[in-house]
Amino acid sequence: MAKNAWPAADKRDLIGERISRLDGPVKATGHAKYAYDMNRPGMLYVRLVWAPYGAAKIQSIDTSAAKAIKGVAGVWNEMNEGDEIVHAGQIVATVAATSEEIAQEAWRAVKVAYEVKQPQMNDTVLENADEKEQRDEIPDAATVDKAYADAEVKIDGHYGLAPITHCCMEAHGQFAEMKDGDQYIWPSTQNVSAYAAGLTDAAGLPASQIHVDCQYMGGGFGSKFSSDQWGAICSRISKETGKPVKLMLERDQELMVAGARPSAFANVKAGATKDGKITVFDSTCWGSGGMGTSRGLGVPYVFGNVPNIRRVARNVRTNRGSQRAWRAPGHPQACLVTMAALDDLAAAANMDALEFFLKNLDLTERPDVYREELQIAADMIGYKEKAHLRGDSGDGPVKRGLGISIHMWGGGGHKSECNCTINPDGSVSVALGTQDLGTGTRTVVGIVTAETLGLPLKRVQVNIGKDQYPPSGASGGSTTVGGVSSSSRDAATNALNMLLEKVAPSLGVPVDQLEAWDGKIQVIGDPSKSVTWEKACSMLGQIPITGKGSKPTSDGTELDNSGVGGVQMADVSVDTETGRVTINEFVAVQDCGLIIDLKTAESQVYGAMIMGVTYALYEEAIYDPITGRMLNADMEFYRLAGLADVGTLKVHMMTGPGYDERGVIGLGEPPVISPGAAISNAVANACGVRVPTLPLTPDRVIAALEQGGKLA
Amino acid sequence: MANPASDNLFTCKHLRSKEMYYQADQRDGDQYSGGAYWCAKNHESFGPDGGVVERSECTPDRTCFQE
Repeated sequence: MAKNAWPAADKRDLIGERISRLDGPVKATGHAKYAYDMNRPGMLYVRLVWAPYGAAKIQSIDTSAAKAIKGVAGVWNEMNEGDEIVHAGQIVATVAATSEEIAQEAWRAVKVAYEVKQPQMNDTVLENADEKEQRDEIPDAATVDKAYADAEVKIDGHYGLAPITHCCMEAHGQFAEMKDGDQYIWPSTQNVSAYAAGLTDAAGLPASQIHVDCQYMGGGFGSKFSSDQWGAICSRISKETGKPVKLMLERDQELMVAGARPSAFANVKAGATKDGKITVFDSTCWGSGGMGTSRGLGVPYVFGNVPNIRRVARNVRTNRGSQRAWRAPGHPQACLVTMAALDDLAAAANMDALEFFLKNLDLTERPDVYREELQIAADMIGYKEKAHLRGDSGDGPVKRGLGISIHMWGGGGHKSECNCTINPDGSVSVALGTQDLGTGTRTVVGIVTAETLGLPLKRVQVNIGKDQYPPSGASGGSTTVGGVSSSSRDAATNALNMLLEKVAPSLGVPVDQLEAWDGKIQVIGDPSKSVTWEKACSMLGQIPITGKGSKPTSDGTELDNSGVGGVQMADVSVDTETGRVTINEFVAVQDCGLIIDLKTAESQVYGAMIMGVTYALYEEAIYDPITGRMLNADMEFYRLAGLADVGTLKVHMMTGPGYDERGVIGLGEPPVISPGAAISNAVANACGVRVPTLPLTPDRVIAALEQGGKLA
Repeated sequence: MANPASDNLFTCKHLRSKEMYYQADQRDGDQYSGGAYWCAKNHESFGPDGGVVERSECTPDRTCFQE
């Protein structure tokens, strides 16, 4: 009998290799069809009329002119006179028309009058926090106060991160059409199996009559779990008109309402002994996720075993679009606040930052892993040759510095079900209702199935992205790879065992002495006693076999795990005359257990580092304090990093003994946690002062240099 | 960081968090999470009554609560 357990290193043909994405060619050639690419004769295009104010009361909505335009299929009020607007971008009305141009014309013709009010947009000051929503943890205030008073080295710092958006390259939205009383949906989602459940009220149909298909999608980062209001509107109009309907958000609305990472600010008092042992971490944090809540930060991050900890957390409600989970929710913010404060503490102790971090690793849960990763990262970036104490970066206006950060994540696999079918002609398909966000999920499923069956990757047909397949969890929390690799391994193993039962008599050995290897079913370790895969499958007769798999696996074998750590180091230059920060080199060292596809794993880390450079240096949602409107809701002034901005990126994945045997662990989120902290610390090391708030734009750098008396 | 409200089982049927779509235990166990909840009724981080959406807040005393 084949076993579920992952094969030993010498029995892996595909797992752990660098393998290109199965869908790379169709994406690179434009053949991959996204939601926006869906077109049907007679299709309606929808535009959403949105509120341009952060706080207002609707006085009137006049849709008569829009309805009179030829080609307009309908105009619907989504809000009513007297309703309150609490953030810009709220959907007030909807128009549907037979062309994009007519929809645009009708959109302009809808007249909404508002009683404009003063929005609350300032989340940077603690005084604006809502006292009711405090979450304080003060286990022993007097002890914490005394620890800070007694500390031989101490800092009292302020840190923060501005709100940013998800800025998915593919906007949110979906295509819907009716057929034989059922509704068919092509959305952009990271939640295929559960998407339909969010549309039942709008479509007036049970989830069983709503069919979801998402083969490709252009980024979600935590913002595409729900069908959303626009999805519901699209479904409703399709059901009501009987027409195919396309509704994709325009870029401005995408940036205003389709996802935002909450801001975070913190005042931190931290102390240490004079030789650099952390003794106290006392924080007051606040931030805003719009009109919802922001729970506060789990600080000190990673160094959770600091002996004296106090946390005070407040929420600031602002009139801006609702927060959504943004790749590693809460972690980048907690990481920046902690690592920046500790880096400041190291500087106050006149210690090398790497020495300081190493000295305090016993305050983390995985000191040995971080120690090994710190040493590898230091070698990769040339730490010994480049390191200097804060601000000791020589003459001239351009200063160079290094920064360190460490992070952690869970990443255990989600629930998943999978079917693996072996056909009498030897073909193999595997089906599960997961989704590929561009991360390589489709490829991972193929690799695991092919490895299990001893076949080349190209022999496996991978079917994902439809809710007709066995359900899989949403792609969130870095849970996908652990879930789908477990369920597909389980399904393929069960299918293989059914095949081995058929083959065993012809080879004259018990089933438990057979294995699938190199395109054959053979006696274990003896290729001379074998049949080809095709011959073996022909023994099935005329009926295919399907092995069912799941996470948790059918025999209880745990193929995934949880808990990863990573280290990142940045080498930056700061022009102290212009305030411009340049990334010279940026390295990441990351563990994630057994790696299925080294190429896509490394790709995840590279992508996270680029995303991290973006939020560290450029990215910020800027709001007008008068109207409450986002001022840079476009791709020109909401700046993302380009290739020229990211410097030289280096990635090292921790693999081999000590890591592989842990099982598969998710990787999507952890490498995006540290970049802000590592780059902020590098800037402080270079120019001698802390630039307290991300992004580290030239104006913020110059202001910090002025206040610190370090302006060139 | 403790989240004492996470044990509250009397929450509105429209309460959503991303964890509900992939965790067997749908309570939020990540102390570092930002707590990004939303209402499936209006797809916002505030409810139809204007109050915040969170496990500890979406309780039967809200006018918009639904079992």
